[in-house]
Amino acid sequence: MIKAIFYSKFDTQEGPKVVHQVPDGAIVPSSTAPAQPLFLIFSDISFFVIPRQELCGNLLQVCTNGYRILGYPICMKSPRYDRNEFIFNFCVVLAEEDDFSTYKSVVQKLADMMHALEEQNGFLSRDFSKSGEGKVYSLCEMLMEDLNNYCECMIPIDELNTLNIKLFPIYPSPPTVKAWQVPLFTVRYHAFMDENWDLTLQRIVPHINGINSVRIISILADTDFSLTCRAIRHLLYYGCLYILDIFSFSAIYAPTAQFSSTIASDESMQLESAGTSGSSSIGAGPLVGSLTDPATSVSRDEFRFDAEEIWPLLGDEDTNGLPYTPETLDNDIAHAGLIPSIVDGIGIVELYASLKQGQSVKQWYSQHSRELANIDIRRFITFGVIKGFLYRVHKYACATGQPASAARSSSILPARDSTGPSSRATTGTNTPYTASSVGEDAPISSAARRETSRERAASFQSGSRTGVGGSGPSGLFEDDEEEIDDRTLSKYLDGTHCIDQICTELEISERELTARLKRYPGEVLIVHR
Amino acid sequence: MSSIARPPDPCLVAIILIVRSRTGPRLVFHYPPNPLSENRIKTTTKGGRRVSRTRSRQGARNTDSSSSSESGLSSDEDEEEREVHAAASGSASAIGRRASNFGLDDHASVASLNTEPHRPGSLGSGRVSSLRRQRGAGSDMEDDEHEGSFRAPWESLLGVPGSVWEKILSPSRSWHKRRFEVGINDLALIGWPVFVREDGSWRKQRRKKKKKPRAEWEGGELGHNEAEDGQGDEDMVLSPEMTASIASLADSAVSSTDNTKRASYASAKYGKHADGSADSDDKDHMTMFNVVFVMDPPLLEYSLRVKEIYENIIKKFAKALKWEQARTDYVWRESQHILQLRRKARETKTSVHNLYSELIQQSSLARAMYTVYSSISASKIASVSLSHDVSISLQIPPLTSTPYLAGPTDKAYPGLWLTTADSATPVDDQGTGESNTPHQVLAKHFALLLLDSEASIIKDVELSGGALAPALAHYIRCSKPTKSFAQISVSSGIPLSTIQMLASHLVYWRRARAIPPIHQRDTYIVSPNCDLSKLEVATIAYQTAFPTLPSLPKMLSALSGTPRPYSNFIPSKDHKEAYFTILAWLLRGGWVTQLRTFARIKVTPEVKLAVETALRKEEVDRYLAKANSNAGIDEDSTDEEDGASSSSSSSLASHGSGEETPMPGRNDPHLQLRTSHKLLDRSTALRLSSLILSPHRASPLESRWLDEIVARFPDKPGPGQSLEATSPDIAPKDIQTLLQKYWPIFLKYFNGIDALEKIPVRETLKRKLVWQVLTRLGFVTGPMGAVELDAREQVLVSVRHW
Repeated sequence: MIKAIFYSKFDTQEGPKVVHQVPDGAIVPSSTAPAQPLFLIFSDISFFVIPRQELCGNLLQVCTNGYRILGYPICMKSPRYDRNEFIFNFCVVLAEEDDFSTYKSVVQKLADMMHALEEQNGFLSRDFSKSGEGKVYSLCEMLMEDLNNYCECMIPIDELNTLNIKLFPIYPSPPTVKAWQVPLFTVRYHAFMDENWDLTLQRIVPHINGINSVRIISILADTDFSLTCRAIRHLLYYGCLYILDIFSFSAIYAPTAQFSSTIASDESMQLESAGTSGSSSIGAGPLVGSLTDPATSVSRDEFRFDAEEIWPLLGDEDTNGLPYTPETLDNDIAHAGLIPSIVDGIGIVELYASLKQGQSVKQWYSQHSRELANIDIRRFITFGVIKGFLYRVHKYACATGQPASAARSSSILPARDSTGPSSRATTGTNTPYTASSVGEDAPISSAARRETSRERAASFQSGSRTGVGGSGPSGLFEDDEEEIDDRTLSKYLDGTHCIDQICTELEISERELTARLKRYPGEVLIVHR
Repeated sequence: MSSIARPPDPCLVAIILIVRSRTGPRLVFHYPPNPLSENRIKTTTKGGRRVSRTRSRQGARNTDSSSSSESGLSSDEDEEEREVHAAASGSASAIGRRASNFGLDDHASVASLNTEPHRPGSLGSGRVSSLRRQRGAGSDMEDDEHEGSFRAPWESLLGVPGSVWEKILSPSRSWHKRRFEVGINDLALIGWPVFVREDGSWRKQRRKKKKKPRAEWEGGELGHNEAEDGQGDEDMVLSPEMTASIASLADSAVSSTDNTKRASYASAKYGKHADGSADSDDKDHMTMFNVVFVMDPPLLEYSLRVKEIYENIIKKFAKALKWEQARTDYVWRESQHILQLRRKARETKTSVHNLYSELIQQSSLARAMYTVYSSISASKIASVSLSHDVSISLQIPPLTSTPYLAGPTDKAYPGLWLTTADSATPVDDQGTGESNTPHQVLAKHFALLLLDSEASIIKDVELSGGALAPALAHYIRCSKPTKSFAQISVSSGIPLSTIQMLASHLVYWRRARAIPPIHQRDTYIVSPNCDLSKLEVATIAYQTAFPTLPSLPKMLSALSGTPRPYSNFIPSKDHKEAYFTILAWLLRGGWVTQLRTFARIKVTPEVKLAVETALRKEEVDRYLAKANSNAGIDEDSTDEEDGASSSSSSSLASHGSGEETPMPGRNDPHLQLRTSHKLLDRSTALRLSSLILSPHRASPLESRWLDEIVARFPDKPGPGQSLEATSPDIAPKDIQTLLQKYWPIFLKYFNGIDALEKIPVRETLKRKLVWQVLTRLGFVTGPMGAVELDAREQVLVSVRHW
């Protein structure tokens, strides 16, 4: 919010002087303005508004009296001026604590524009109008009003010049995109994409679905990998994407410290979770729709009436554990006996809470298969990751340089049994990238649906199996069965490369990697982080 | 491997000292002599982007996994980054941590200074500086004050002649002891100017004799008495708290108070004396000094970084200078000394390097600025001694822990301790209270984890001498990360308040960290925030510390599985000590973090229904009683009954507000509609379970639910419970009574915010007993179904995180 704009110049008689000010009487006392306290004392800051010429042409700012004054003094030299130079400055006054970053470019642009106008026809030096009148004053007035009200302005100055300014928010520069990351739109890209977009962007956008990794996207879209990364980074800069991990059933997820303050206490988030991952939403479009559509984030009260349809049903093989005994409740739910058992909000919280370190999604599912019967697991987990109350526990391989021997299960350390960290041996049997890559709308629960999803070529690609797009993965891997040599592999075993990365870059599945690591000469430890 | 020195990022570019006397403002000294010098070459080649940023980004990439696909792309990435910046309307804002090692190796940087004259135009971004240079070329930048053929390289700074800086950095009196902030392009210049008083003195004349102890500069850490800043401002009184810095202990005023006092009496005279010795200035007096810190904060972190350095460094440093100025005319004396050396250097055409080493050697003020610059820009503690009896320690307090795990798009600080264990937590608040003071009282149930070896800390403490040293050394010897402050107090006989004070001192000065006491029954996991890029270095360090024990990767790998109590990893009783040491080592480096348990009480539909039924019954009873007493008023009893039930249900439905307000206007026609909604509402709410968010502030309805839950606890153990293997020493019957007994005590912890691990420490109960009770309540540690439990007792929804 701009508090004031003023135009100041060096007067050869009077020294630094405020010529025009908006609002009137903000910087220097004015006869036309109602008596009011000045924002600041001009003489305090005149050293900076009209600085020594060495500093002219630089963006300057100073804070005083709770205000921040941004200015860009310009010094023009020409024999037509008294003393051969003309120094002026258009200053923008903001509250000191306000974010000023977006106004830096405004001040700079204004100064450049005025510089040009003055050069063209002496726009400023020939302005002899009184304070509060004339073209320069009305320009300042319109600029402040438009920027404050519309964040942009288009002010015609003469038949040749127009002042166009728009305030742009400044975002942090996004991190580099990794091949094994999975982007997901936060917005419906259809709404604003047009044919003028970058060609790479246009090609990759349809493949961004929260399942495909960046590498897969570049293969499916047949775009250059580095261009793909740049395009995705661009979308990331504007906050159009979430970055997720490659979902697989051998992956491990666990709650973060945000758990208690988000899902566990926020009923609408529980409903949202049910809405995005429950049976009622299956086939209701991509995850992103329900997450970002404002219609679904209605308040709690509005939810009440159709809440019943939102909660996912329990698996129906078991009916003796009804969480609700309807007999005691009287007439208003007469059809009580027909109410199916459901996983309610707290049930969802309990399911999330039962995710833990050292337990793969597969193991978790097998323990809660009844509750999860009508829940799309991938969406369920993804929801938690997006909301920040779940995190993916990544696995890192680390070669110790010790010989691989029986010492691996050293007596003092817990045996690397099936419950321990090395459960990769068991969880890996079901290669996540084949059987467990869940199609967009296929819950894992029914084998039939899994079959259909298996047929979908795209869902096969969700993992790191990046071979040549389209060809069946199994066939592909029979072809290039040749080993990854130890040198290549050892590069990845310094503990800084997660399994997702290794799999993506070496184009193998986790199971194959696990098997390969067993043949690695030397001890390889897996660290979960 | 020091694990701290993390964010904040100082973004410090230079420190400038400006003084003003009758002859006008003078730029006395700035350090480093050639700030941002390494950037200038790149400023032209790299399209105006700061090299410090570029460099750090490259560094980041190196530490990043150098993936095969990425390695060939670095030039692309650069372009890309520039492009993204261009999209942000030309405003470069690097998010990567910038290299904070400006002058990290001070001697090297001094030595490598080039003696060539400064090239103008390194002020900020390339575009602007080039603009500036064009104009500058046209105008004659004649040096007005120091004419002569040889223009000393140190007369200009950042490409701008000193006289410009002198003008812009000596503000009017309205900035006296206020934040002075000026920006030039991307640089921020922050100061705290101090002006001489009207009467020519530097502080209010006040009789200090009575308050002798307070009037002495203890060199302590000024943040300790921020509270009395307001009144103590003018005369810089500082209470000689025992919390003075370790560093300052070296120069503790204990022995030198007499000196100090005498010096302060003689101050005016002394000042003149100094004037006399400096040959050029006769009777000139300083009217203002301003120590200005030049920073280049990233645009998006501007206010944060500026505030950090202003509050912690600039203000305190300037205050210390003001104190010394008032006492011994210090700043003016030193300034004249520095200016004299500079004049001489100009005459003899000394190189910058030689001049600066001479200045730093000869002037304690120059040395102080050099120390502040080099330490603060490296995120270290700056121990500055202004004279032999005045010294201060300055630091920007580092972040020691965070509960937030950075996502893939967030700025991450790997290695930072990830935990929710804050030494002041909600339940603590009742006891200790103020958590806003810079030195919060540490909760008594925390323990002290030394961040360095005990021996080396004790050595440092003893080296520094000082009043606190014996007490600190004694306490450090007694301290154990496995014992809480309260326990140490009991075992060592040191009063708890002293322990808390000593501990917070060590914590503040980065020698220790307050952690929940290490216990073998607690569970520790590999921290999701640990810095695996340091694994290699750490493995070696670990190897030397624990040569005979399993290696670091092995330990991490072992801790990676299903979370288990730490005791599972300890092979035998004899190994216990060693394994605790390992755990402390791992915690110190942020490799592991404690997995803590949080729980809330779940209210099942059955409980809700039971309470609902009971409430309705009460309502009806009350109505009947009322109807009996004044039967004349109500004529239509059936209608009334509806109203009664609706009122009860509405109060139920609005359990958020929790007020059992009687419904006004029972016969309101709108009521019927609303009632039906409420009933629907209620029916949904009753069908679903819910959680009690904060049991110690339960609403009336929630209290009823809680009562009902307790009432449902079985009096007798259910079938199969007698087989329970967990309690050989406690009879099953006792467990039932235990449950009844401890429920009220435990209740307040079931709020999802307080870790259940706190219970045994805080309530001084046996861990085993607590966990038995908790297990009955539905907290599952081990594999499911190991013990058969009564469903009526399973009322907790628990989650484990750090």
